[in-house]
Amino acid sequence: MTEPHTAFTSSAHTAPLHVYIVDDDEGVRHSLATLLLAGGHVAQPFASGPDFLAGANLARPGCVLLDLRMDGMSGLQVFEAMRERGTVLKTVFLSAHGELASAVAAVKQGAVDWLEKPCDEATLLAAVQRAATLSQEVAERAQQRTQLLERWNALSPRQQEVARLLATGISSKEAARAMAQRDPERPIDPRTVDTHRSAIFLKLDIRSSHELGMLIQQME
Amino acid sequence: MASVLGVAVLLVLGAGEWATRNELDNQWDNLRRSAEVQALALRGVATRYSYLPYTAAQQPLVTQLLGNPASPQVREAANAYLKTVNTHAGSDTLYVMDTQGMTLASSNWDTPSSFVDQNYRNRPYFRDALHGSAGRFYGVGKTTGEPGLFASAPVRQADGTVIGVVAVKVRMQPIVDTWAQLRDPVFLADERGIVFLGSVASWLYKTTRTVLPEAVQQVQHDEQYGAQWTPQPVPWKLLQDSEPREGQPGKELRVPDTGKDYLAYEEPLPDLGWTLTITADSKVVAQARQQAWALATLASGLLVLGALYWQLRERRLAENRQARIELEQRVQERTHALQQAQAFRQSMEDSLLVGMRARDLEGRIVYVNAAMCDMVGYAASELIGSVPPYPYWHPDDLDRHWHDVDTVQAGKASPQGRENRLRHRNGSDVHTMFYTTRLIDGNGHHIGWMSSVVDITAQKRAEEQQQQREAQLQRVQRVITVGEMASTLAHELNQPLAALVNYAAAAKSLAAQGKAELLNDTLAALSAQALRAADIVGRIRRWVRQHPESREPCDLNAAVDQPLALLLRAEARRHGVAVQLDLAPKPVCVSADRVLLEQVVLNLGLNALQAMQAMPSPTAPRQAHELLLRTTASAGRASLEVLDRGPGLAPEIADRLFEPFFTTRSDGLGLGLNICRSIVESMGGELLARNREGGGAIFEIRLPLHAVPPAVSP
Repeated sequence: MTEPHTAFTSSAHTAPLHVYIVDDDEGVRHSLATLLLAGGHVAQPFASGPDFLAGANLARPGCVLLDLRMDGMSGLQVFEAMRERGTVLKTVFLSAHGELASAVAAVKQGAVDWLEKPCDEATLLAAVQRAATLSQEVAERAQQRTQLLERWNALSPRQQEVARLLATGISSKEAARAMAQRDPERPIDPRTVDTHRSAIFLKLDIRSSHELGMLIQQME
Repeated sequence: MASVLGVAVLLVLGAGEWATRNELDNQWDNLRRSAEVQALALRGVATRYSYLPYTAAQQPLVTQLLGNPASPQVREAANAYLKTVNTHAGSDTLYVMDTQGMTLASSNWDTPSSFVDQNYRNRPYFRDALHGSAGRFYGVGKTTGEPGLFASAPVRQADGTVIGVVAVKVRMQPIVDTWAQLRDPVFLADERGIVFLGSVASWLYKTTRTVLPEAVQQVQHDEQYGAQWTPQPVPWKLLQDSEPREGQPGKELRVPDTGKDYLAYEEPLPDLGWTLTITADSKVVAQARQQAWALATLASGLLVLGALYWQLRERRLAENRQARIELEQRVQERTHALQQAQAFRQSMEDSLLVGMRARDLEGRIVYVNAAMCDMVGYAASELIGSVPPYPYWHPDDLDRHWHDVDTVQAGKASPQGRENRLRHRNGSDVHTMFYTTRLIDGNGHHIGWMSSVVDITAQKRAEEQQQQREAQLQRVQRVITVGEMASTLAHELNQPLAALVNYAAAAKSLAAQGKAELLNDTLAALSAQALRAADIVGRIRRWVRQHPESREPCDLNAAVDQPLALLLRAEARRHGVAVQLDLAPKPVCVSADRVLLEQVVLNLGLNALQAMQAMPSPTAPRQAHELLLRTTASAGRASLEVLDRGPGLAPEIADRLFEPFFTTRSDGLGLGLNICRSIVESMGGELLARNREGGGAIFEIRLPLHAVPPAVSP
């Protein structure tokens, strides 16, 4: 069970994975759950797309094993619904014989992988692992971004304006001139820019203009 | 009409006036001419003898007598002379008087009314002659009492002294006699206006105008008109016209006693001192006027009648003309209406898609419309007049057509119509519905049959096509079912297989962890999934076996044609493979489920195409990639072979060919041939595979020949 790519999150290595199983075939569903449970992971099976969408926590990082061909809502429809709801969950499709085209299309739309049934244990677990890791990363990035936005929104509009200019690496003087050019009615003193700069650095918890540039890039 | 009457009245009056004037003119002309004649006669009589006294006066004997009146010899000689001359001249009396008026000798000396010794001294003619001029006088004879004209001449001596008078009396009676011949009165008046000669005796010696007393005395003295003459007016009056008309030369004379009117023409004879009056009864004029009036009235009557008749005729003509115009108008309107109706009917008939055909009681066609002609391809002129069999009867349905004719003529034509197949002139079949009813003429007589003919060929064809399409669709659906079945099978089988793999992995993991209870459960689930997979395969076999009931006699050749038409030929073209057919000349009849048989052929054909595609041979040209379908029948066995030029069957493959889940293809499921064999076997046949000479494979379907040929070829 040793994975080669564990550099991103060392904690994920031993932690049990959280896997949703969505398949209308009871045998497949049950056997997958048995396999994952035997591997020490958390498996949560659903017999249909609507059940899954209603019962799963889409905000918690994890992996979804999603059957392509199901009665009622197809796998692709479920996948689409998840994307619309902005989930951090990552999907691995399960396809039967001759569904190559659908599976490829699904991957192009952002699925992590697809597995043709029947598939061996190693392939399955590798795909699930990768999806879970990706999901974790996405979740972390999303959290950082949320924190960043909170801090950014604490700035006044004038401070935000100043921050965008300083992020390009220019001096306070240059920034003041640029702002005066942009809006001649509201000329600004370079010293005032300096004052804004201090407030911005404090609120955003950064120390340099370079950091500011990276932060704004991250935000956008 | 009033104007006509006015014209008529004017015409009558005018005609009367014109006739009157015309007659008057005529009468006046007559009178004038007559007057001239009579005047001439009068002058003749009056002057004929005027020379006689003068001549006699030159006679010496007369002079001798006057010189010696007493000598009897002289007297005798004178009397003889006078008598001779008088007789010769034709006068009445010739006599000689002395200056005292005493007659000395006379031609009538020897007659009782002798003038001798009579004295005529008071006579004007004597006085005139005594005074040396010739005398003339008309008067009543003093001796004889007879009127006459007296002419005298003086007898002169050598010195010119008048010594006596010779006179001659001429009787005017002959003239009066001629006047009596005339119808109307003629009379002669002297210068005093006293009528002295005339055809009317009662008017004689009456005065036409007032005579002065001196004149009366003179006449009485002269005893001109007898010794007892007194002036008495004539019993008539001359009417003076109030308006004397031009060209009216005379006057009108009215005799109150007789009530007669006369036209009187006066011809003055100035040399004689007389006035001759000639009359004409104006009754003639009145008659002429009346005649004219009568004629004019008649003419006017005729005119009026004519006018009336003309008016009536005009009115009748006008009425006739009006009636004719109205009639013409009505005829025109009616004609127009008829034309409209005709045009309407014509366009209706022409626009009809339904054919119309009328026949008489003998079945002779008397009418067809354009749609009917179009339907069968014959011109109306070719159809009209024809009797059964009609040219458009379908040659295969003649009995049926004759039967229909009999049915219709027996009056038993079905109101629901009768479907009939006709033969178009161009040889194509026309399916029609005939609806036939009795044809009744205007008098209610049954004169034949009218049929409306509906072309249902398109409908028929559509129905057939629909049936074909449905059959085709069914086939395609069932063909798809096989393909779909493979996919479904893949999915369905993959599910338990996937579960099996998962359970196996889980079991391994659980075994390693030493969780015996969980391991048991997992193994139980695992075997359940294995059974499930087996069940799926069994279901397919059962599905294939469900069809033996639908076996029917069918033709193997058709079993080749259908898949070809459906998919195989198109698929072969896509692969660039030519399809060759080598079919038995006669239908190869087997008892089979046609649809399943076709699917087997299709499956084998597709396999063959894929086999050839898998082996693009560089040596063989493209056309070497051929697909041959062959049917044969021999020794109670029917055979359908599918031959390809693929890689053929390797020995290790040939043995396992029909095993389930055996496939040489990466994406093959390995069920096709297995199912195909099941199908063929279910029909009592077998499916064989062998290598073909020269490369490729042969798959052969063998089925027992069916004894009875198929009733209907599909």
